[in-house]
Amino acid sequence: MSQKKLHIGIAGLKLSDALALRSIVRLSKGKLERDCVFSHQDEADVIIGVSGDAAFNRKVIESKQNGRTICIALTKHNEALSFSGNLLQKPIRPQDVVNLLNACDKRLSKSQDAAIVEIPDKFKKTAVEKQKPQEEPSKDLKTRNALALAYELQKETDLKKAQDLLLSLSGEPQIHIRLPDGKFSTCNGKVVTPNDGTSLLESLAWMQQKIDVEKRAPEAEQENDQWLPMDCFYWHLGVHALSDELLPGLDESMLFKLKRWPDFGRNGADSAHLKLAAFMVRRALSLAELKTLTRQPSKTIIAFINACALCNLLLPKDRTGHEVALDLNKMKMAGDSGQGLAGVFSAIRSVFGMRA
Amino acid sequence: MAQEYKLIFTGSMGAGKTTAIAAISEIAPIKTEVANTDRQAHSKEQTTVAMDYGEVQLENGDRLRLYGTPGQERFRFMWDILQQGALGVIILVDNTQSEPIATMKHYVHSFKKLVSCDRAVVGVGRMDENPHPSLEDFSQALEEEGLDVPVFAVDIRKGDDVLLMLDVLMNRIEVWEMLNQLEAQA
Ligand SMILES: Nc1nc2c(ncn2[C@@H]2O[C@H](COP(=O)(O)OP(=O)(O)OP(=O)(O)O)[C@@H](O)[C@H]2O)c(=O)[nH]1
Ligand SMILES: [Mg+2]
Repeated sequence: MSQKKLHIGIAGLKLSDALALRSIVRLSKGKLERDCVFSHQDEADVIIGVSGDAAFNRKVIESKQNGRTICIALTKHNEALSFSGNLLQKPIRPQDVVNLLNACDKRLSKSQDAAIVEIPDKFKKTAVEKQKPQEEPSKDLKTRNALALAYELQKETDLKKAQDLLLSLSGEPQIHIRLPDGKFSTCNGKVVTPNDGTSLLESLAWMQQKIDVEKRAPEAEQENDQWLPMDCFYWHLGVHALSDELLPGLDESMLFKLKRWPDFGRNGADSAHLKLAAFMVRRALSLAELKTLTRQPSKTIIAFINACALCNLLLPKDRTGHEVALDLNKMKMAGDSGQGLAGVFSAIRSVFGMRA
Repeated sequence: MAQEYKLIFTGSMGAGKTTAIAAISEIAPIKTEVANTDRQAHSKEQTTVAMDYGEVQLENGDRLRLYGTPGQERFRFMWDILQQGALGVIILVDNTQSEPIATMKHYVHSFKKLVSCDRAVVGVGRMDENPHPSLEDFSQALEEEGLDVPVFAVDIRKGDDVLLMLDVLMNRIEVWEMLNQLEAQA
């Protein structure tokens, strides 16, 4: 059971902590029960991150559902934490890392059989209740799932007159939108950092619940309010929505090109999104072509296209028949030949813990 | 045989080249800071003469060398030599300095060789302090000149943002090579 490597993912760690961890793991090879490699979060058996980071929080929820990953939070000495799982204390001590990873190895090997039978079903259940942006098309925004709401807000120009919106989930106001100014803020009494704002959106996008929308006359701004641009709102709802349908007005027969790169600096980047953007900025491509070229699942591609559409970055094109089709059968060859850089790129990604 | 690759950081005085290299370099970056005597160009205390240098040792034995161009104009002659054979260039812009778009264009043109084969990325810093011009304005200015360079809002003090630009650069090069070959065959 121990021949498979233990995959470690990191989420929200400072680069210096990530690098420290990496060198500890490299130097502790002889003491670890299983060989360890650093991988992307989605492929990791163990995730080490900081509690409060959006990606890490999501992994914590996922791991509670699927039992296949173990999450470890890095904490400063004496730091008060809402996280109840495994902790790794800062400054990071090699022996602690070894002990924790060995304990994880043990636990994962034990739970493996049981986990494999149970989990896929649970996963399916959430995936089947997919979101449909087209539902109940009416001007009266009362309750919507996140993606449908984003779509309608983006479309409805007459909504953008002097009006504030209060979005709530199960009665609790969560987000305050100032449509005329094109910005939003969280509104449950706390000051927002971009991280709070985006992790809230991420959770909204991926929970299947409906969001209640209340219209308001514009309120005076509070001094402590911090606002984020609506593009950030649209991006996170689009890209994290569990949808496998393109937004209304887009369809699978079209070709998709980007006007320019999405702002991965402010909104964060996923390796799949980087690759998709790199292709779509260069050339108008169909869903099928994108799938072959990027080797990403349709769902990821559709969510990306939806997010770009919501942020006004998409140039959808009807197929005219003039495009010279790419012979994707030759892709393998193209990928293999002449790419002297493939090796160094994978080495660079591995040093910095990026995903190819 | 072990190979060496160059990555260039450029941009005006105070744009963050030294900071960016320090964020990802494995060795303590070799800095050549002196007191800034050109306070007209920028009010910061120190500026880099000659060149910033950092490096990252890769697992396959290769080495990634990080170079930061000196901000002072009198070192321009180095740029042409530097960009030969470089993996790519990361152009840093400080949005609180005057004429950030003109500044960006200046560097884009100076590194035209790399720009023309999709090996450039622009990172605009301090956008929270000064949101104008917007990213869209930057992109549009490039588009008007027929140039295709991605522009991101970054905070170079965060290593992650430096890595983002490096990642974008690698993705673009990969896609550039793949599509060029496929398009040539079509
Ligand atoms: N507040 C803020 N500060 C930043 C940001 N990006 C960079 N800085 C700061 O700006 C300064 C940049 O300085 P350097 O890294 O020395 O710039 P440089 O490009 O090497 O400058 P020269 O060597 O003089 O050409 C540092 O003090 C950074 O901490 C940002 O987004 N926000
Ligand atoms: Mg410097």
